[in-house]
Amino acid sequence: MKQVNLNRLYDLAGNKALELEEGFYTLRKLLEKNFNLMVFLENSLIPKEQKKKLLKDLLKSPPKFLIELINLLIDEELEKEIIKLSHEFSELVSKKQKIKLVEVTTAFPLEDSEKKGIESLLKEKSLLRLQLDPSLLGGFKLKVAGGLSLDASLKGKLNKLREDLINA
Amino acid sequence: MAFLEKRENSIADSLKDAANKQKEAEHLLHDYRSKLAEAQANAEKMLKEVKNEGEKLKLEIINNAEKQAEVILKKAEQDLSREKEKIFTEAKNQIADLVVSATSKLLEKSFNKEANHKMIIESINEASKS
Repeated sequence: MKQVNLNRLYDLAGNKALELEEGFYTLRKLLEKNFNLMVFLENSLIPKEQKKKLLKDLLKSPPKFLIELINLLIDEELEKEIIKLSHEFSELVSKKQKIKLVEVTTAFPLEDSEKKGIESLLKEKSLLRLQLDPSLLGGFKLKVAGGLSLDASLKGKLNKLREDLINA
Repeated sequence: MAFLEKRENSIADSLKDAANKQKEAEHLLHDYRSKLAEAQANAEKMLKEVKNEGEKLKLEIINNAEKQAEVILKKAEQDLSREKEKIFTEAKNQIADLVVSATSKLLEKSFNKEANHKMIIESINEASKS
């Protein structure tokens, strides 16, 4: 299987590494939320140019470096690895720049006071990526790139209740 | 006189012959009786053996049947126990699903922004303590 040297990618991005990570993250979220898109990308019969065009259209005029990254991943036939590589790149950037990259998912838009509260929990310099997911019903979920995760959502509590009822 | 002597000898011979034949007959009778007794003893022995074999076979059949019954019973008990466990697990899953589904529906209606804010702040406070 072909490989992408993420350290080399980080070095090439220079002071745009965090922006590149952000773009990679956006691409990852797009794929995670759209199973059919993943199936489309993984189909080797579909021409590479069609795949590149679709991703560019869906990302709505992405920055040049993200287009270059997409082209590289598709040319190297790494479509199946995009999500994994994106996670690894986030971890690398987080480590190199000593910043916590945190995905916070909530059922309602996060208020400023809530955001500050979550930041205070993280203690270190952090960058929050806010995601909305009404299926959480309430509360929040937190995932630090390459680190811990916390499920303080209502959905999580209901899942725990379900488990407790089954194991009772 | 010669005639009489001859006649006397003939009678004596006849008597001797008759005595011999009687002896022979007696001997034969004794032989038959012995053989009959032997045959009876053999028949009794064979009957006894057949009876014993039959008894052994009967016990074997009963033992096998008991063993088979035991195996069938044990399997039936295991099947029943598994089935009970399966039904119990399914029932628990269904109850848990019902409880969670009903609670979710209730929360979807009643859980508002204020309740959400309270929950987030409480979770943050709780997490900061641990």
